[in-house]
Amino acid sequence: MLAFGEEGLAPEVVRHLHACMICQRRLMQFQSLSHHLLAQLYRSQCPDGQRLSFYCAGLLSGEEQRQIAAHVQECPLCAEEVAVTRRFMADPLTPTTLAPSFLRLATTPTGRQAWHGLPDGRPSAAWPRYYHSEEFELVLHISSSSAGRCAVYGQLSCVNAPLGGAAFEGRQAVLQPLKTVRKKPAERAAADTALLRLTAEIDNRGMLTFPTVPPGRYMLLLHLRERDLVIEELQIDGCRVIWS
Amino acid sequence: MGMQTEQFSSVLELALPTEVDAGGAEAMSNREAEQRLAEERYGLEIFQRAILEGDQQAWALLQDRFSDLVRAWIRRHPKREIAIRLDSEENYIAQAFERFWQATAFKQDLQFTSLAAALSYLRASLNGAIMDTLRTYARPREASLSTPGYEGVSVSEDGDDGGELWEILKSLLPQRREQYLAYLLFHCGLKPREVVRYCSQEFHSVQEVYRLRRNIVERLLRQADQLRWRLSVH
Ligand SMILES: [Zn+2]
Ligand SMILES: [Zn+2]
Repeated sequence: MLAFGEEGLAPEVVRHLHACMICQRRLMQFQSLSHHLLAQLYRSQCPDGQRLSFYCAGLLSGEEQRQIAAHVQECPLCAEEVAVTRRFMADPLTPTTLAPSFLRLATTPTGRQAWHGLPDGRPSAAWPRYYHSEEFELVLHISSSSAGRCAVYGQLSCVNAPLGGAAFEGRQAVLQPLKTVRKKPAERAAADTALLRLTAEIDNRGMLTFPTVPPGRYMLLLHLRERDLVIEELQIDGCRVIWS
Repeated sequence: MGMQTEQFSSVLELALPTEVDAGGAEAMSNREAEQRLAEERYGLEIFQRAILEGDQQAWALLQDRFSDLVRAWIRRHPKREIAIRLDSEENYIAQAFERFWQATAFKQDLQFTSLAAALSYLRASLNGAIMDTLRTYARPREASLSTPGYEGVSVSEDGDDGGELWEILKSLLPQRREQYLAYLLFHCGLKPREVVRYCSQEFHSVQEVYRLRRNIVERLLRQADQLRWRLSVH
């Protein structure tokens, strides 16, 4: 009788229950009230999973941290979640973990060979531009295209393997227009459609071509196999200079 | 020439999240350290622009760049096996970014002091999404409001105000020990056996828990009206 709701009632208890209406009713009351309380109270005092996670990462205000710490002391369910979360948050996986094979060369640009194979147009003073990182070198050039637009050409090479352009074949290059707007996500979705994002594929010589680029500020992204190369800000407005 | 040098410094490499650094403590050369610093600065800037300035390109870039990392986190989560059975990786990733945005965007007092700090928000958001999903499924059958066996009637309609009900219940149980047992039974949904396992210093045997539970329920039955409950069976 004391063990209501549990797996095993002793056989003599079961026999008695069958015979005794009073005990039957009492048992039913016990069960019903227990169920009511559990349904109403279950985890009603627990912080939700998000707040508990932020608590584990120490991201809440001092007052909130204290409140939740006190709750975790009492609540075995939250204590269990905290243990899981701490284990997860302690995992050292971060994006700064580099591939061990990564090689870094001198920062001073070397090998500034003349630009080959530029289809047409006279370069302005600002062009070509050389971009350089430890492993990669990118030369960018522009020429005028139609109606005030520019064609942007790039040649990507690997410093270690000057003829290794084939390694870039098929990788994507993206020109993202830059414009800082303060917006919430809902408004972003609408704004995104108006955004002109240009993509190009890198060919087997490491060449990339954006044939018609409206003047403006861009971010250039090269999605390579192991990492991305980024030119944070690229001002495309030199075309007029060519014709002046 | 000077201008070109300036250009070079604006080229940064952003490493994709790779699998865990197996070597761990191997010495880093100065160049690698520099490289990491550059990545760190760039990653942090993306977060700052996306979250604190609401820069939409940066937000898109952030999602593009870090969703593989979030995916890698999911695959290393202690509860990944259950989590993956309950929802898709893509949903967890989407939820992680959404929750991260909710928690951080346009918060005046928020500052990302390092990329690691920004990422810990993102990782905690992912963890929140996973834990909340697990909770939904871990809720015991007896705690559901809609099981056929549930015959108690909630007298008041605002049934989700468990906080108030808990305060009433506490006031009906003057002893701290009874309060705590009621908490473990009705708030945490523990079985008497589990109560003894969790709090062996406080509750020594299942028999003792049964006895205390009977005292609690009998006391509460005498005050049932206050608990917004009455027996609906005849
Ligand atoms: Zn009887
Ligand atoms: Zn809790």
